[in-house]
Amino acid sequence: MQELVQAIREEARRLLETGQVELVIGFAEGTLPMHSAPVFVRQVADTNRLTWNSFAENNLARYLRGVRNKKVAIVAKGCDVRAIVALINEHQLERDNVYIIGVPCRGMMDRRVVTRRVPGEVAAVREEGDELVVDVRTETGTAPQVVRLPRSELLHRSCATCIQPNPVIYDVLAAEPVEVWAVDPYAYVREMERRSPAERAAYFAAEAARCIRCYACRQACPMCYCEECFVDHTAPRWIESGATASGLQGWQIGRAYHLTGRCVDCGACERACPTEIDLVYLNGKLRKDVWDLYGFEPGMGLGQLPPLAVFLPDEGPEFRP
Amino acid sequence: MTRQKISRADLGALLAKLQQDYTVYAPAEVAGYSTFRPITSPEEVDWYCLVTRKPPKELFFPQSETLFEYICSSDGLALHPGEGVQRERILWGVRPCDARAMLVQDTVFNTSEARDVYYSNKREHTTIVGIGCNEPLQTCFCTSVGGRPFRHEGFDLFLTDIGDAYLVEALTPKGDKLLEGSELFPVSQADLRTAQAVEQAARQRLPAPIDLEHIQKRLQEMINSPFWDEAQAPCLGCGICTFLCPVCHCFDIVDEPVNASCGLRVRNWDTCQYCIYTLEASGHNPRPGGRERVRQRLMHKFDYQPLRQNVLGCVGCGRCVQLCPVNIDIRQLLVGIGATE
Repeated sequence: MQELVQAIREEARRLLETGQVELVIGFAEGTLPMHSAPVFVRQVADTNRLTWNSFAENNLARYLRGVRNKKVAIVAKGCDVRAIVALINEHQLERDNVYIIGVPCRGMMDRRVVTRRVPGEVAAVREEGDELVVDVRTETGTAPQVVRLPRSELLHRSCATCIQPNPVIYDVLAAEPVEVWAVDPYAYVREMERRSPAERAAYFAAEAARCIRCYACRQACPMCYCEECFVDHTAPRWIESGATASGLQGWQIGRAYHLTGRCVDCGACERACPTEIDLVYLNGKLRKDVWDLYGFEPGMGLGQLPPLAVFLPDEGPEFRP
Repeated sequence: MTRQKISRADLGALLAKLQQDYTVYAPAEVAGYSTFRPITSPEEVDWYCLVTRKPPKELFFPQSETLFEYICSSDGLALHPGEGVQRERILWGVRPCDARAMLVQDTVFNTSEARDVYYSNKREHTTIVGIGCNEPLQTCFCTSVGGRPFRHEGFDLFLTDIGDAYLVEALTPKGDKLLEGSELFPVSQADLRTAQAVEQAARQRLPAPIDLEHIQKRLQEMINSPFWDEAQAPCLGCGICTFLCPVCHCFDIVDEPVNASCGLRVRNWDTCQYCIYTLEASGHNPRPGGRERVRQRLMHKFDYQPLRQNVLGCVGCGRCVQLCPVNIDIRQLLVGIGATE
């Protein structure tokens, strides 16, 4: 891990020193255990702030449209790069303006899972091989208790079923590619599909009922880039504004639908949600539908045509992008 | 008020008894985290939750509240306000920071000049039971902003956990009423020493006060500072820090038509962090970017509210610190503001 951090810092330093980019977007140490913070580095001296660990959970690609006319470097794991590719394919970014410092990713750990697995407040964590070593804060004046947890049990759901942990494109790779697990990316969706429609509806209603309409899911998403979101549009107003069942479910459905064939399954929406709403299964269902119908997963290669955004004069029902 | 003592078991029994006459809200599990909700049994209470996921403000100022129903007919326009809260309520297990935040909410919704009937109805029908914080979290910073982990203000009844029992203190007639008929014991010198030690230990876990006057002075001078460009860079522009803030109280009022002749007038939470919050009908937006919006949050809490209402807009509960998806930490922002020149 230390070598990886060193590689990221050195590359960032070189890029800023040579003026190849004016900004490096990466992660810095957070102010709390198990938090990393997105950071915008403009000065060579600040490159030492850059870091990497298994809590670099945000999808940094969501920042790129905001600086798209600048030469920018980004520290990007597999899903961040998939989002970059999807954004380029949707003509939202210029490939030449983005310098990708690719990071092969072992999966990000879910601090909510960690928190529930230990008998107190987490004081500090460190990664040792395949384990997360957790110092648990105890009563004032006593030594912290140490708990070791296997990282495989702590991964975010989208990470546990990741199909592309290695960046699909990059300008430099900060470490050796990681092994890709043979996983069924739609396993959770299949499990949901086995439930009866009534059960699924009840589950969806209960999840949506916790929504506070903070729109963190939208704001964290690299693919939610509308200049004006449908929920913010007031004339005409598309859905109920309040925290009512129809307002909340309308938002959840609208958000998921607008990502059909576009969601790269990074899980950033779910990680941002303060009420822990299960969001990846909604997007997952639509991803699976697009896969079944078109054999398409977004962000897997430059030049891929997004099936729901493209019309080809000669396309038939057998359309394949 | 004198302190008395109640055993853990008796406190549970008291709560169960109170449920006969009151609707009780307490920190309890919802989908893996704890937040205030109506409980059906004392067993549901999460006694050790310091910072509930959502603050108790929604019990007085709900995320969405129907103000009235409107009906247009040939007889004209009729307005039907809701009934408000009828049954007495207990808000159980509130922490001192959240109680202090309610007192700030009072300066908005319940003053001699402006009394919001929806809010004050709920306030009047609610008895608030507080509990001190024996082991504050790393994100807690009440002491930085003038609070204390065992502050009594805003409560009707206050509990101190001394291990095998609780010290209980009725602070108002409403609080006295809760204790009627329950078995209480006198407090020994040893109990008082334990309580003192618990408070002492709690304070040790909390940070030192910050110079709020200096922060306010700096804020007044730094409206054009480049500090805000840096501060806002990672901000996603979501509503978490404000919606989950126990002090934030902005709202929007909208009409929700049911059909062409009737509908509901609804008040919804709103936040200065949204781009449409200040968007004017002309299309002009006086706070057009993240810079202005992040600045507004800090300015309101640490300058405008102290100026206008003589209260601080932050109680140090740490929810915004815990839940910001990009780890924007208000404590760090305050340090940064203090250090600007």
